[in-house]
Amino acid sequence: MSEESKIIKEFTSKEYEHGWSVNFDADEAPIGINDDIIKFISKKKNEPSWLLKWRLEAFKTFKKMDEPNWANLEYPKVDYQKIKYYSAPKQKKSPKSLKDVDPELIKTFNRLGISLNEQKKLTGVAVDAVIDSVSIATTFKDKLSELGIIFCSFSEAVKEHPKLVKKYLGTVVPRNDNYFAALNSAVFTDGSFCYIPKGIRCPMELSTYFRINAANTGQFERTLIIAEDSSYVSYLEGCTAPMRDENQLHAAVVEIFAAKNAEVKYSTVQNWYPGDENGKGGIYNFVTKRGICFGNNSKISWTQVETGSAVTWKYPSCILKGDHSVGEFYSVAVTNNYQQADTGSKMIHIGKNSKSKIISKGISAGFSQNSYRGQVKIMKRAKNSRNFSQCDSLLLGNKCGAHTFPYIDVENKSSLVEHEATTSKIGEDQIFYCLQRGIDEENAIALIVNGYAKEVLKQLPMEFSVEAQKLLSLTLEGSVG
Amino acid sequence: MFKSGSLIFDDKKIKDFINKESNPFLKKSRNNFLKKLGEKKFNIKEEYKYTPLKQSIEKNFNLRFEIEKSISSTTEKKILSHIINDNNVYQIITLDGKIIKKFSNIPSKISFKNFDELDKKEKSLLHNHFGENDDSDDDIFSALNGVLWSKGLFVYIKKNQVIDRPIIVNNFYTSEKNIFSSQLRKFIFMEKNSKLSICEFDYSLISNNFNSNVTEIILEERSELDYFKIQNDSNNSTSFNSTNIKQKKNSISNTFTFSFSGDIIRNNLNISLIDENCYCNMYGIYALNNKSHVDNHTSVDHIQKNSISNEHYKGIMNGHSNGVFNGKIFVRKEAQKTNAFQSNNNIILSDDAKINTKPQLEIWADDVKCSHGCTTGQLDEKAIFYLQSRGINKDKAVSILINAFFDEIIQKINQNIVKDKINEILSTKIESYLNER
Repeated sequence: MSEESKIIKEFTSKEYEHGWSVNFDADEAPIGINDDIIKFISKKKNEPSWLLKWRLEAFKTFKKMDEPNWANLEYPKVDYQKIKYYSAPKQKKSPKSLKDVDPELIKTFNRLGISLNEQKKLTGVAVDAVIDSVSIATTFKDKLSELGIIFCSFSEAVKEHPKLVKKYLGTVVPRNDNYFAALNSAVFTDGSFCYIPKGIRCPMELSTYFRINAANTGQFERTLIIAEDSSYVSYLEGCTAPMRDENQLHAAVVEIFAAKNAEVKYSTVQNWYPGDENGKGGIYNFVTKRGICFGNNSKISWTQVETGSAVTWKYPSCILKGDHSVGEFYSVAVTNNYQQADTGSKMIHIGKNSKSKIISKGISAGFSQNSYRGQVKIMKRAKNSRNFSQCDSLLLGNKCGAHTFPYIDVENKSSLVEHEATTSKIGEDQIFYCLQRGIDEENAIALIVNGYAKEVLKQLPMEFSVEAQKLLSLTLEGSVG
Repeated sequence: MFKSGSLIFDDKKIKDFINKESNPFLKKSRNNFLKKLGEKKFNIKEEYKYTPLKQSIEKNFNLRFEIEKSISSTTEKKILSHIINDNNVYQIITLDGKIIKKFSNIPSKISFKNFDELDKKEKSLLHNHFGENDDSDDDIFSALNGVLWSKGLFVYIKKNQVIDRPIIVNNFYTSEKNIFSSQLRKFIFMEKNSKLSICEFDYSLISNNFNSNVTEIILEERSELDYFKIQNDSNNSTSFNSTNIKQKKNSISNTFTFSFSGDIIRNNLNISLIDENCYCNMYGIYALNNKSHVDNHTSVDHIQKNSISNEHYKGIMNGHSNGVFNGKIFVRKEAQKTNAFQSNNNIILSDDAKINTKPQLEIWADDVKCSHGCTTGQLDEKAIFYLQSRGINKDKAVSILINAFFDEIIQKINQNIVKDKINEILSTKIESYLNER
């Protein structure tokens, strides 16, 4: 066996690091979806009646909709009646503070490298940890509340801050927005809620960590971030799941509202279980993420590193409603084995002088298919708007595919839109150059890929950036021929 | 009645029409297209995302199949006004697809005929290849054209034959609004080592004409084709065009699509490079005003290795016009060492004009160089100022900049007669832009 194919074999047989699961006692809903299940979820969470009504309305819309099939993805049809829509680790009683949290749960998160122990935390990152359907713990809550920042689980927000939730829920991603958003609106279980009051700059990174643990469960979380006038927040999201042979569904909705002069930075490192080397198992990741730059001079920036999931369907978008508002999207999407990703961004320019930037780097290896799909729309009244998009693809091997589907719609004469895309492979001369200088092939590839993705990775907060770089080198080790 | 997509057809009329076809092969072919029309699920929503079908075509086609037998003197006058008086070209005039011999000058050594005039050898060539190389699987209008084409044009360039002068084809359409008879079908076959330059103009003699023009082109080894298409019809016609080129080893194709005027124009250009070392250039210019809507859908399919494709479309939109560009590049698994480039640049001159572009890459081979770029902007105010500061008035400055914008493509035209014609049309166009300012 040549050195090359040995490396490839080694790489493809590399196991998913977070593939274990823990047995907790879990509180679960029966399999399937109907009005009763939704009532069950709502009751479990002690929700007010308006929210139940909202959910039922969403379910009604969902039933009328068809699963979208325009994406460049192929997967067996999901049977929505075979999924458990609610699963929660049983806790004796709801925890008042971290001390009350089941030590088994804390251990689980420690194993993932997420410390829920505030004292031992070196970096100032506040974490909201979600297992399956419920939020387990949120750290640094007190410190944040001194500044008036609300950072808690979604169910807690429904109880403690119903007015805020009611005002903003579904304003950015309406219930009938798309098939998966409607499903999420009907059955969402938990997620994070974050409110930054006027003029406050959030002093630490806020972070949510999602973990699917139970089998046959779908995870449907909902995140709502509200940034009031002149506030700033940087928000991180990470996710993992156990290795299972069957596919699991993850359909999340993230809504961001940015008022005048506010800035929200949302970073994701998505590392759901991608399935094994034969494409068996893995998470179906159907996510709707959208932010609205509502006020003038507001800014929303999405950064994502997508390495996991068997199927990814995800288009973080910005509606640039305010004048001089700014939307950014930085993405690295890596697919290997039989993974499929259809991801990109939408920038809808409504406000004058609005600016957007899309940098997307796709890397495909193995038998995977990696697509960029994006839209830049400049409305008539978005005078002097500016967009720059760049989407590059890197192909490792000739069994994978890279696809680009950008839609560009310009409706006025004063805007400037640029789009460019390239597809290439790692140059033999680049590898040769590294070899010549004593860097072995594997490290050379890691070096080149990291260099290729650097423009995006440097956008990530420090802690994530390190993790993402490690993840990248790990995912692509030796996959170049 | 039967339905396909959002279109409804009177199938009795269609069947009567097909039954009139005397050639059994073509009758079968028409029936095959009809079957496709009924059975295929055409993705109208995506393929015609930006081109409003309902506006252009009534839901119910009012079919007329008869072709004018004699030409009236007014028609004749109109035709004559468009004929190019130049001895350095061969010229063909067609009226709803039928070649009008008295206005055409083409030597007998060139096989350029209507389908019903073919000799035995030509017939067998047509029967061997007809209908295998169009986009009727994906496009409803191509399938419709396959059923209803009224006249076929057959071009056959023999082995080692080099056509010394460009062939100008002037297509005149006479049918009225929503009468679906101006349906042209072309078949061009070029044998080894042959060379041809062909330049096509479309004119409708009646306003609100709907015409369609589907062309199948096969390029054998080492053949070379220049294909120009010029759409400058002032009569608000709606026009569907589909040009399909299949290229074999070492062949070269250069296609140019110029759209200046018309109500709704759709141009499909599909090139498949089925062999190694093919080379294709696709150039396009669209300069629009008023309510013109031009939709260019191009696709190049790299099937085998070592081929090069190069695409460059440039457009200016003024008034309420709408430009659409959709460029697809496919690079199949076997097509290693492919070079594929695509570029689309747009200038919008008015706030009511629109551009929708979708440059699309689909790549399954790793050792390739592929890139696409797309820009939308306006004339550079600084450049205008620079010229003004040197004593050039604003109108002149704008026209210099527009000419410069298109020059990159005009330079590629290797036939002077076409180049002159394009420059002439462009200068009137620029004048109209300046008047609308």
